[in-house]
Amino acid sequence: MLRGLTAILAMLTAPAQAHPHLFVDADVALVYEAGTLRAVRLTWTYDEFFSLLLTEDLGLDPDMDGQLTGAERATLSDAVLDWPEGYEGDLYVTQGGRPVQLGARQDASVAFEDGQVIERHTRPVAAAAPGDATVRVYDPGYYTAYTVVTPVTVTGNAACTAQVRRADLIAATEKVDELLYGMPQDEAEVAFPEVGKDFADTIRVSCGG
Amino acid sequence: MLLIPLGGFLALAVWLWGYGGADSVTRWAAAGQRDVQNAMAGALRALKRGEAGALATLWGLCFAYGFFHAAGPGHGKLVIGGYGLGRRVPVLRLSGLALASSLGQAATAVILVYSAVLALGWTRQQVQGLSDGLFEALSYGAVGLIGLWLLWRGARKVWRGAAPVRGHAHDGEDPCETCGHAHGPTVEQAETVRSLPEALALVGAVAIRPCTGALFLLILTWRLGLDWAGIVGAFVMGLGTATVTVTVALAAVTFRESALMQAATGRGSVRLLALVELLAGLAVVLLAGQLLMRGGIF
Repeated sequence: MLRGLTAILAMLTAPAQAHPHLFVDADVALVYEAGTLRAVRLTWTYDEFFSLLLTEDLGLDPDMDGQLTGAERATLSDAVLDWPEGYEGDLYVTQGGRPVQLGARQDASVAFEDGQVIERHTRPVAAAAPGDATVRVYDPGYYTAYTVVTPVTVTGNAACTAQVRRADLIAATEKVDELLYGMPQDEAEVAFPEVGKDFADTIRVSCGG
Repeated sequence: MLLIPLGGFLALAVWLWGYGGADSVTRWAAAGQRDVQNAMAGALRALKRGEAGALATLWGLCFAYGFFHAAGPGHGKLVIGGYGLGRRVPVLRLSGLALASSLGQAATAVILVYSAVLALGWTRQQVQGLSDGLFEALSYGAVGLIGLWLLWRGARKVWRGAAPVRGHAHDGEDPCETCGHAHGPTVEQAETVRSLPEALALVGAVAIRPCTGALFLLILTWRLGLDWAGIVGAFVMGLGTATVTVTVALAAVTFRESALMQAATGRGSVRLLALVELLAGLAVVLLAGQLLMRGGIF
């Protein structure tokens, strides 16, 4: 994710402005070791419009043939991988409803294919308990709308399978509308930061038993 | 001639409001905006290559983008809807205000991007930063003021329990039209005088906060050297947005007239309408206050 973008995101605190401007396909691969989730590999494919905006803004691919030179790839990579401080990485893992601590990203890389920017990285999971886990990819402010690509792969444990439950867009939109149309203020204060989560797909990994 | 599109909008408004149509639109808009956004990139590339028909495609997509985007949550819709519920505004005038505010939003985007880009030589991040910080604060401030104003009007009427502002007692039977002194304003005059600043405030509150999608488009077309395609495209986006805001305006007026006007036709109706106005104002003030606080303005 981008520094400038996320700075804007931080300012976009109003539900009225929460509708997404950036669409990202999120390919999620879950790595199990000895029955415990150890890492999440993410591949984010940005929508074509935003990718075009990004490359044009950086002055890349002037002939618009979708091919970048080596130097152009490096410029793009630097811009995309320059995560700002405080940016959490839009990945959320829970077990039994409690958040699981995630490590700093590893193996980060950026590609440009068919006019779309693709960002890849791995988040280690150090402190997970064995077995089931729930994984979501979302931007709390919903400036970015992530869609989880199916199927979600699980490696390292044949007993574990992943199922994706799509976000209930109607319920999420109704919630935003309720926030918008003026309900008790304290209620809105509590509910507001979770708007992005309401629009998120949910990956549930179950390891039998 | 006006009745046909008006009837269509009215049917749409009733469908959206009462028959679960809004749910379908929600589902449709979520997928639609994404598809349109991707297609717009293709149209821009085609236009850059000089392909025939690319311009029409781009503008068509701009219209669709505006529609889908406005079908999601947005404060422009809220202001128009809240205003339509709270004040007895004629359908056509409210629809006109909705259209004006959507086009005003496009104009703000164009002015913002080109004044920054041409005069100041700013980069994209700076242009967006200005929009999302300063303009947002200004806009929410303006929305809040409208809310306060509605609140004040409503409260005044409730406390007085009075009839709405009436013309002079001998309305329509004035024996002398040129007697040389001003009588109290007629209902029509009062409406006109009051509604001009109202209209400006309403349009301004929406227009001052340009849509990020329009900013994206304008910056892209500027970078691609397709400036006019982008500028026209931004206004076409505004027209797409207006289809939704006009629908909301019609729904608000329809709802108000059917539910409230039938509920009470005597003296009670004045008080009831004032109460609705008060509630609408309160909702808008609360909303604007929250937005300002979240924006770190307070």
